[in-house]
Amino acid sequence: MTDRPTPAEAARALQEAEHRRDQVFASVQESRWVAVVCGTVLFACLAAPDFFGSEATRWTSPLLAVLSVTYAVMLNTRRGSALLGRPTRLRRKEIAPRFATIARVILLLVMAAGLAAAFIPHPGIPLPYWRTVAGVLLGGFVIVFGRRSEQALLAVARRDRTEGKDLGWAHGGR
Amino acid sequence: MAAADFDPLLLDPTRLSIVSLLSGVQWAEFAWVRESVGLSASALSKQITTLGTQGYVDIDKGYVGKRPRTWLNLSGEGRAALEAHLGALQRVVEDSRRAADTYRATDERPSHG
Repeated sequence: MTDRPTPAEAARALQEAEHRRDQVFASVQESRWVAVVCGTVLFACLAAPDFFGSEATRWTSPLLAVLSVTYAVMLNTRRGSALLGRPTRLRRKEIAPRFATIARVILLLVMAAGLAAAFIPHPGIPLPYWRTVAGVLLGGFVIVFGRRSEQALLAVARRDRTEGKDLGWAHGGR
Repeated sequence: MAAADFDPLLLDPTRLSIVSLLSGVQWAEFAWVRESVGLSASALSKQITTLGTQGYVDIDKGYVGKRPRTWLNLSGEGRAALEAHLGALQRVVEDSRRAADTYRATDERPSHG
């Protein structure tokens, strides 16, 4: 390319930049073992009260909370991410603001539902070992579909090109 | 359009690829960038040194366990340079498109006589 690229060269360079951006989204993934460990821990914590009595929730809930916080902290640090097998960290600005808002609302609703279930008395489910069944389903889902669902969510979360004017990507940009 | 609109460093396709890749991430491991761009470690190292000297890329070295790692991230200066460069490229494409449209419109105008 010379000092002033021809229109064809400029178009090719823009395409290349877009392609590299696509590549970032496609490669945001961690090691398979992380999904296996997460799924197994989820299963163990959900199924524990069925085998060790309701006393088990005294340690399963704090354990899940501690592991969730540890995971979140690791994701936000370079060394932690490397340990999880994630070589990159996606920029927050790459995520569509609308998706981020919806995700936050859903997370808050799930947390509120969890708190409500813990403090509001409710009739037990008349199905033996229902927690184990739930653990198998949830844990199995995380192990089998965890990575694929992350990719699917990222595809939805991706900032639309027309939204990216401030990033210098949008057509008809600066 | 003045040639000054373009960043001479980013006119190189390899460097543009590296910087475009880094623009989507907060940080990336050297090995991941190498695999993504399809360069050898020494070739990428050379390009990163050039970009680092200009202040476009920050380099952070450390260890994970006993294994050495290098993380790269695009600096604010690098991001601004990329945005300006992509904007300039976009303008070249648009100017060309507009010129083609004008030419087509002139060409399609019915001739009298």
